[in-house]
This record gives sequence, structure tokens and C-alpha cells, in this order.
Amino acid sequence: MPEELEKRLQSKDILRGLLEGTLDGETIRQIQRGVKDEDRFEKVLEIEQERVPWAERILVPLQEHLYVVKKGDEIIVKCFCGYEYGDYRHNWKLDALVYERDPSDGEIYVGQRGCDPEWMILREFYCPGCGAQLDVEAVVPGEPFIFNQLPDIEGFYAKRPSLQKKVLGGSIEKR
Amino acid sequence: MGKLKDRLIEREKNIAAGKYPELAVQKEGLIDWEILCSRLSSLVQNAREMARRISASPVVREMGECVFALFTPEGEAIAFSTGLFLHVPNKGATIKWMVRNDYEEKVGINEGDIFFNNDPYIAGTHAPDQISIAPIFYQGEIVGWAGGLNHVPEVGAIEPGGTTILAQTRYDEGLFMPCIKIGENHKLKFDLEQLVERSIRPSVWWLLDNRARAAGLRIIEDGVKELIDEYGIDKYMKAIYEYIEDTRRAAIRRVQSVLFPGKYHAVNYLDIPLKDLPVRHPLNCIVRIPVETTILPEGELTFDFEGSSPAGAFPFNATLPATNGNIINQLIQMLFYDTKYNHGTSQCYKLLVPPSVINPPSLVYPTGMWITGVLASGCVVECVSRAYYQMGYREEVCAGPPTLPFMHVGGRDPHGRPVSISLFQSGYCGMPASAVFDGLDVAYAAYNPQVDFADAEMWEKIMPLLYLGRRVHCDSGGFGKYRGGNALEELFMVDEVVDKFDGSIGISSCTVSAKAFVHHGIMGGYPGACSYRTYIRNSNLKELIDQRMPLPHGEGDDSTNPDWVKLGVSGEIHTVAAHIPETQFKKYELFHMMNSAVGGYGDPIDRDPRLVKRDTELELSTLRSAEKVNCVAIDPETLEIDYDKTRELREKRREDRKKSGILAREYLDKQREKIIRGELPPLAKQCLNDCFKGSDRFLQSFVEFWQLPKDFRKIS
Repeated sequence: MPEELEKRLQSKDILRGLLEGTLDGETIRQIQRGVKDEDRFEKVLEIEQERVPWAERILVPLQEHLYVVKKGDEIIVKCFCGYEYGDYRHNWKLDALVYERDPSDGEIYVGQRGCDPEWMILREFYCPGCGAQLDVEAVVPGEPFIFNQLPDIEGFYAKRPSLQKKVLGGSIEKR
Repeated sequence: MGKLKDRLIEREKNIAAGKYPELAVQKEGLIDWEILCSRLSSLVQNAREMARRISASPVVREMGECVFALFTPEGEAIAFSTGLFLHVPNKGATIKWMVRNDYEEKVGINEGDIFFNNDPYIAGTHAPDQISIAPIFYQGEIVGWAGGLNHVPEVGAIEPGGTTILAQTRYDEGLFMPCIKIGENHKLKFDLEQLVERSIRPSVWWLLDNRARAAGLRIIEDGVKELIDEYGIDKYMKAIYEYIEDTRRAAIRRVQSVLFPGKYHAVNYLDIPLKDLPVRHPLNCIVRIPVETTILPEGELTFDFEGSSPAGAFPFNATLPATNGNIINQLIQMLFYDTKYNHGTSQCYKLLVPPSVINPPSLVYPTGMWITGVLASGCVVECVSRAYYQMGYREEVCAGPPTLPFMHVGGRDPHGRPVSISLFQSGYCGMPASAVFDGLDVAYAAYNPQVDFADAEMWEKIMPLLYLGRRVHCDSGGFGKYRGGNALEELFMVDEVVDKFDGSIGISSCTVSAKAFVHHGIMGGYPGACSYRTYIRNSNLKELIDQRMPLPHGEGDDSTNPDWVKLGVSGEIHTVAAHIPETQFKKYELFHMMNSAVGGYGDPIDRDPRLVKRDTELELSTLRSAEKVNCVAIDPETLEIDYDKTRELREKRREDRKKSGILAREYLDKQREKIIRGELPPLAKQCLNDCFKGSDRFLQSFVEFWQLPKDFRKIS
């Protein structure tokens, strides 16, 4: 891939388009095929920090709508809308709204396309702040909430001291 | 102890101690080193392409279900062709098994030998995946092995087509030949061909594929000898281990640089509704496959499957080689897509798999439809996706892969010849949604991403069915901000009466995700739709044809009022969310088949309305789902978007969710009571209780999560 094209594909403007869903398919495929930029995390962090309407420092974007942020001495999960879920080491789902859907209710799936509720249910997790649907678990009744991800923030930043200084201005205390 | 066994033990000891080769030959001359590697890759690729042209099977010839490789003397892959990536660790396992079981002394390993294996407990996934291996000698010393594998569509199981949903033991699954010497002096043995000829239904696929693989092995063998002549034996024997080591290092660097360290969890399930089938032990159950993925900052990856359901009397178990193969298959596609294809990628992760449905504790468990292995890899995909998301590489985030429904046909082809085959195009499912675009429709076979769809006309030449239609099944992909790829639907008319007594009769179908969602969404996306089958007996299709009336080509966009009903097809219409055992059909009867649709990504009401409009224009999605699921208002006449109404619908949906959702703590309290009183559906109880028996850790986490009494042991 020509160096100029590679640089362009790795620019913040293009990455912003990737995050916001404004890129065309061919550009996305070129990004997929290209060399992975080593500073992607830093650039995406900057883009996300510019997008969110609140001031807390993002430590890592967790998933759609959700971020792990530094709030005072705490590290918490926070929604784009501002709703706060508490310590990131606890499953944010415990502070969300839950709707247990009968998959044969005809709302999402029609006819035979929904599963048999005697076999499986859908658990939809909504943000109490904005009503975004953050996760859908397709599980047997009785399955504990799935704790999808617990990022190792200390381990990650310990390997990147200059980034840690830039993002936090210091170290994260061992928790 | 033979020489090969010494080498294998030494090699494994060194790897366990972290003693890996230095890249001395690479340092001497990188360009030459890379050129040799490239020539080895070309050799195995050449073998694959040539073998495809010899095979009679459309599965290999048209679709490319075939892979070749070169191995070290110890059985580690040096170079792999494209094709079935899930066999990267598998074929080498055949060699290791032979070496560990003293084949050098007990059977003899000589120049010109060809060994065969289709025992999935040794290597491979099921009886149809057939491996041929040949040792490569240079001046009397073994310098490596050539290997070839392809899927053979008939193996003599209790139903035609290579895999059977009725299998409840291994002994129902056809002819197994574990590490048998099928050739000497580069010639296939006549007596073993007789064994195959007389043990299975049409043997042409198996026997000709044997020859195709033998030819491919010869290409690799001769090519390696020429390269050794050119490069010298010392340089060659050092370089082949360096390719593996270089890949191992590259794989670890890749994990360190693109995946955010942490712990990740995912859980998949498989529905197994066999109670109404003519099986010896009727059962319904649901099996659970959880994973805890640990990614360390140093790049170490561990996949721990503790808490998985036990193996059972159904063909959906996956052997450990099959489970590992599925995982490496997905890792190659997601992470290691631009490293060299060799054993090095298998050396960068640890797999912890207890005796379970994805590592059966004894040979008796059938594994013909190793879907649980795919689901194990689906859990891994979800974890890796989340780690990618956190690092910012959104273009690599996706929902889990599709599993493989099958349709098998036995009978007579249009020329009156007996036929028994699995219709492999049913493996081409929707591609999972990613974080940046929709999954491609009908575009992806998880186990073999390179494969090509065979022409309908090719299939019609070899089976007693005619296509009335082959289409994208609209609205089947999981809804989301980006939707999962839609499934394939096919409508067949039975062309000839199948012969009752020749052992090859009827149509059977494995219907994955009939009762439970198997293809989950991610980060707010919905699972792909469940699957079902429709067949119409004693139909009036002949009359409609004679009257030149329009015929249905598929279900249409309303599954509650399908096109065959709208167009006046009558008869006994059966729509079942179930597996179909081998069933005879008559001419002019119809069979409707769909394969797997996969999960969506993100909240469906975050979907760009222009994508919703495009889908309705292309009949990939309906106006109903546009409004009800994506909350996009589209004028049914003009198909134009009403953006104001869309904003209102979405705002209302958010408010409705806040009203209908209850606080998680309240939900937990209610569920706890149900669990204590045993008020869960019987299948859920059975599933969870079975998992408790196999894992104290899961039981403990279950008790802690639901805050149950400390002496809780099972759901009553």
C-alpha cells in the first residue's frame, strides 16, 4: 500500500469517520487490509474524549455507549449520556435496567424465527439514563449475568508510561 | 524407541521449557529465507489446486473443501495451503499420534507410504474429514511429511450424506479408519479400496478423493526434494523450524499490540431436540459452552472452558482436536490473517478444556456434527472482538460465526445412478455483523472462509432434486446498528421417486438453532433468527406446472403467509422447528431449506435509516422490521424516509424501554426466588445442573451471583 494512502487511512479524520459510521465500504476494507497503526488506541481515545459531553477522563472505551473513566479517586463505567454505573470491576449490568423478553412475543421475531421460551429467553439491558440497548443476552433462564469484559487497566498503562502520564498525569494506584 | 519418537519428545521438552530456535538462517539472508518459505507455500497451494481437479466431488472440486500442508518430522505444520484453516493443528496431530504409538516399529514408516486417518479423536473433526499423510525421505532420512485433507460426502453412516442427526454413538457414524497405511511405494492398496467400496454407499467420492490427495502428496514430496537439492539439507532443516518460530513470535506480538489485556467472558448454547426423532434414546437438551478468556499484557492468551456441559448421546459433541481446530480457525481469520500459515499460531495460546461436550471423555460419543466446537470458537470471537474494541480497532469487531446446518440427500441422480451426498451450500451462511458494517448476506462458511458456492446446476446433476429458488432469506440476520448477514433459503422440488431399498433414501436435515438462538449478537445486537423447515407432501405442484401457473421461489417476506400459500400450492404443509430424519419424498413434493443467520451489532435504533431504506428496497428487510425493530418510518409507497417520524419513534422506544425494564437488583431478587423454588423450565434446570456437576467453580459463581444459600447444590 502506498505510504501516503497508509498515512491517510491512519489519520484521526478517517478514524473519526470509522467510529461515526460515515466511511464508505471500500475505505473500511482498505483499513482492514492495511498495517495496524500502533498508536490507534491513543488516537481513538482522543476522538472519543472530544465526542463525549462530559469532562471525566476516559481510560478505555468499553463498548458501544459505555466508557471506563476516572472520576476522582474512582474508576467507573459511564454511559455517553452521563449515567454512571459504578466501579468498573463490578458488572455494569447490575446497575442497568433489565427486560426479560419472551422471544416468541412477535415484537422482534415473527413466527418460527423466535426461539421457544421453554428453551431460552432474551435479556435486554438498557441504560437507565438514555434507554440505549447496551446488551442482549440469549440465555437459559437462570444463567447469571455474563460479565463480558474486565479490562486490565493497570497492566495496560504500566506498559505505556508516557501514555499513562498523558492520560492521567500520574500512575494508577494498584487496586 | 524409534528416531522420530526421540525427536518428538525432545522437541516437546524444549517447547515446554521455552527453548525455541534462534532465527540463524533468517539472519544470514532474509530475502533468501522468505523466498524459500514462499516456494514451500506455493508447493502446497499447487498440490491443493491440482487435487481439486482430480476429485469427482463438487464439495472439493466446486467448493474447495480441501487443504494441503507440509510438516516437520515431528508433525508441526511448516506451510499450509488455503482452504480449511481449522485443520492447521489437526493434520499434524495425526503424525504425532502415529509417532507416539510406535508406528515406526509396529507398522513401519517408509518412503512411498501413504497413511489415512478420519478418526476425529486422533485428528480432524468427523468421519468425512479425511486426511492422507506421506513421509518425505531425503537420502534415507525423514525430513518431513506431506499432508492433504478434504471433506468426503458419504462415509457409510446410518443415514446417507456423511453425517447423521440420528447418531447416538460413534458406531452410527460410518467407516472410521484410524491412521491406517493405505499405500506403499506410492501406490494405493487394492484391498483397502475394496473395504471402502463394500462398506459405504456410492464410494466414488471417497476413492477418487484418495487418489486426488495421493497425487497432491506426491507433488509436495517431489517439490521438497528439489528444494533440498537446491538449498542444502542443513539450511532447509533449520529454516523449516525458523518459519514456525518466526510465526509464533509474530502471533505474540500481534496479541500484545492489538488486544486490550483483561478478562472476557462469553456463553453459547446449542439446542438438541431429538425427542421426537426415531432415535434409540429420545432426549431433548440444551448444552452450554462458556469461555473465560484471559489476555495478559505480555501477549499470553488463555481460553478456559470450565463449566461446559457434559458430552452426550447426540452427534454435536466436538473432540478436542475439533475444538482446537475451530478456535485456531477463528484466530487465523481475526488476528493472524497476515502471518505465515503454520504451527506457530497454535503456540501462542493455552487451551483449558475439561472433559465435556467439547472434549468427550471416551470414544463412544458421536461427533459427526461438531457444532459445539464452532460455538466454542464463537465465544472466543466475542472475547477477542471486545478486546479489539477497547484498543480502538473497531474494523475487526464482530459477532460470532455461523454454525453449519446440513441437508443430506440419498436416492438416484437424473441418470439413475445411486447418490448419497450432503448439500454443502447450506454451509454458506450470513456473515456476522461488525462494528463498522453489516454482515454480508449468504457469504460466509466459518470453517472454510475461502470456499466458493457451487452452481445450482452442478448440484442438480447429481441429486434427485430441482431448484425452484435460491434466495437471501430476508429479515433473518440479527437486528442491530449493523445487522447480521441474512441466511440462504432454497426451495426444492423432488424430481424422482427415491428408491426405497437400496440403502440410500430420502432427505434429512440438521436444523441448527430451531428451539434456541445459537448465533448471538454483540453489544446490543440481536441474535440471528431461528431456523425451521417446511415440506409439502402430496402437493398439487404438477397441476400448477401443467397449467403454467407461477411457482413459488421461496418463502417470501412474510413467513406467516408464505409465497407457496399465496400462489395456491396445496397439500400437507409441515413447518417444523426441528431436525428432519431421513424421509422419503415423492416427485413434485417440495422441501424448503434455510441455513444460519447470524448476530447483529449494537442497538437496532442506532441504525442509520438510510441502511434500513436500502435493505427494504433490496428486499433484504421488511417494512415491518424497519418500523418495529429499527424504529425507522418509511413510506410504503415511495420508500422514502420520514426523518421526523423516525426521531419520534426512536425517542418513544427509549422511553418505553425505561418503563418496561426493571432495576437489575429487583430482577435478581425475583429470579433468586424462582431458582430456590425450582421454578425454571425443565431444560434450563437440566442444563445448569449438569454444568454444576462438572464444575465446582461454576456452581460457586452461580451461588454467589444469585446470592443463594451456601449449601445450594442443584436446582430442584
